[in-house]
Amino acid sequence: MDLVVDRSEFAKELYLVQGIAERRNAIPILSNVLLETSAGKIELSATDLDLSLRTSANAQVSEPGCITVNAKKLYEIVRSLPDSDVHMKVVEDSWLILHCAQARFKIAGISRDNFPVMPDMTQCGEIRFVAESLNDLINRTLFAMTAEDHRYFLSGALLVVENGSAALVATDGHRLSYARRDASCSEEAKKRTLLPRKAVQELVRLMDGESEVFFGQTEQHLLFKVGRRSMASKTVEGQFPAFESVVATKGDKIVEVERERLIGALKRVCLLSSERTRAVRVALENGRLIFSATSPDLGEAREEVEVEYEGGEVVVGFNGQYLIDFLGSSGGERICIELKNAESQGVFRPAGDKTVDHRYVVMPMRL
Amino acid sequence: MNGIGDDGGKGASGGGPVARAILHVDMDAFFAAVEQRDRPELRGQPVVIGADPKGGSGRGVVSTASYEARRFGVGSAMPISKAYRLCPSGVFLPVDMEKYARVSDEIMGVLRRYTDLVEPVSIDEAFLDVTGRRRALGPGQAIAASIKKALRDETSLTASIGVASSKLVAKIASDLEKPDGLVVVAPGSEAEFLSPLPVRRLWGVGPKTEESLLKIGIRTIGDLARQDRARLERRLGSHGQDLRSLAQGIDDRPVQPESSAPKSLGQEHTFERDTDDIETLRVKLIELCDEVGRRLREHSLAGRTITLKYRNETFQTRTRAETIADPADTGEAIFTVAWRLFRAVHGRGRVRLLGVSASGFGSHGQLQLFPADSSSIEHARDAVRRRFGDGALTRASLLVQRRGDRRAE
Repeated sequence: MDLVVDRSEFAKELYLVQGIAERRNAIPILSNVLLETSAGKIELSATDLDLSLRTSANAQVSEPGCITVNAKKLYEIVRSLPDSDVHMKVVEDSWLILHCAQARFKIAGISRDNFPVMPDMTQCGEIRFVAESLNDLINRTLFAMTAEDHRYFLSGALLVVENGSAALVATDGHRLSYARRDASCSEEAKKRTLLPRKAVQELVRLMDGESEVFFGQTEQHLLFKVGRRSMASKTVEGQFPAFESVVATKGDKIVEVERERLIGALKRVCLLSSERTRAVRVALENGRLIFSATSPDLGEAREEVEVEYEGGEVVVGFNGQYLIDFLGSSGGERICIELKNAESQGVFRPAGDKTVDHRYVVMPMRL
Repeated sequence: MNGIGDDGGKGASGGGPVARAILHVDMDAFFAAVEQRDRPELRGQPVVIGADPKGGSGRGVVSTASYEARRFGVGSAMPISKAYRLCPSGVFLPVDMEKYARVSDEIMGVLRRYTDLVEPVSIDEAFLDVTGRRRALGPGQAIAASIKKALRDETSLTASIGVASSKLVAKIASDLEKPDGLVVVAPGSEAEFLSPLPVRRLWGVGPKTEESLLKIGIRTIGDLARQDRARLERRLGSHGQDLRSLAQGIDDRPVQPESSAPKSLGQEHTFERDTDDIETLRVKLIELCDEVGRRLREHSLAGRTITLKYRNETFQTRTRAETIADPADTGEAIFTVAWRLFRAVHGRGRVRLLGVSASGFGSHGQLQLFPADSSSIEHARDAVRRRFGDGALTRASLLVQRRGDRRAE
């Protein structure tokens, strides 16, 4: 292998693949990126066996070939180079010689024979998503996914595609975030599938600066194609909980509050909530919404927000952090809150946003 | 409320001019004393509470020995088989924890009449901070005497009490004149009081630390108190510095009153024969987890921290704990964690004892959006068990194992 690439273009793609490669180091070769030449390009591939990514950068190839090297180290090197052409050449015994301006590196590589076979990613393209829409849906749901859970199907989001609209649903069992946007994908597509959390997080990075995402599915893999980047994620088995009934719930005590005002009040009151539970008492009365919290060690906090409300009184406990999570991602000037009683879920949504149907359902805490 | 705090409480907080008055109340041979109280024919007899001795081949250990049994050399935590050898004429009784817990509640009730600052350390001992109660009730010694009388009158049991300015010294004092003792260490004389006692008496000095202390010629608490700070730190690390402070009688840990809710709930099992059969171990662990889950639900609790206790054939004990995001109250959820901990700690050897406990209870009760199916199954199972007894319903996996056992016999 012998080729020349542009440093900044190469660095940008390398940044993406090293994010996947570095995850598991139990199997050394998985920390490596596979570099291989194709017509006018250098292709970069990495996998952690669950998630695989392949991308490329333009290159002047004078001799085809391939090698694998430690992805993180190569990225550190390339990132540190001056903006100039990078010349890479594989020499005997799997050494990668890298030249850039006055700098020269000789990097120990491993032959590609030991590198796992990458999943076939040619079938991308069944459904076309508007990247901006998908990105927005992810932003509105990612925080509600469980990081580690024995019910591992919760460690991801459910994607529902129908009549051109796309919806993502995520839940950790305490709260559920649902977001749906029309005109987000190909009209004829219909799909219901689980996206693992890791794939969703990676997708956000892949979509950076792109306008379209193509999605397809084989028996074993979910496939995403964004520009020249392709990602394959192992499919996840598991029954996502019946979210429809949860999303359809309504409260009879409805109030609208300015979002900034809500965030401010909640963040302040949360400062004195119990560190472990983050419990905040939410009391809705005529004309006012009162947040309060107590910490056995620290003291108490209370803040009143004036609201237009004339319904019955209700007091509910919530994990304050759960509410802040939502308010930070929901956008919108005003938030509509629907409550029922101390034992029933609260429903939160950005009021008056016609482009997105975003509903956040939170189970209370017993105070 | 007993109105603590207003009368002299201020000076008591953290090394002010007023020395604290801390009591350590320790019931004498508690389990055995309760049995002797309830069964007059046992009075004056050596009584050993603990595992079934099975004519000398029993496994398990002694929980408590009456003072009569202690004269035969029987002591707590001793293997029951050894106790049986030492005292074959003794009356061996199983642990009736429910009864002792009831009596313990009565005792703590008596103590709380003297102050709200009662910190139960275990089922049969507690610390009290009576600093702020002296003006109303008299000096620490008088309060201690009054407590002893109240316990004798109301529960017919005796306690030994240590009175001192710190928890450390009070605890050591309560142990000095057992049974029915009352030892007062006057403020200012703590170091003098501790000085002749063996280092082993200090909190934090186990057999290993004792050994390393003996190696450098430290036998008594006084020896330790006089040690050069830097030298100790070299030998024992930062632990050395803590020990030296304790040896000098410096201990300002507060008495921390506890709510009456339990801190942890656990269940353990000593195998009849040490075993390395993975299926036997797994099934026993499931059983233990189920039992812990059942008791948690009984108390409407859920634990955030699951702890595994593991003892191998060489008596090495390891405990491993994991804290989870969702508090668990089902055998299923507890087992998921316990099994992970087990696999991490289990090597090749045979296992003697397994224990599972749940702790980190909160009353925070985050409600679930999708109440787990297993939970409703377990609640149904609890109902069946309550009505038809423990054996009425069980897991298929446990059943298969039991058949296997029978075949092996």
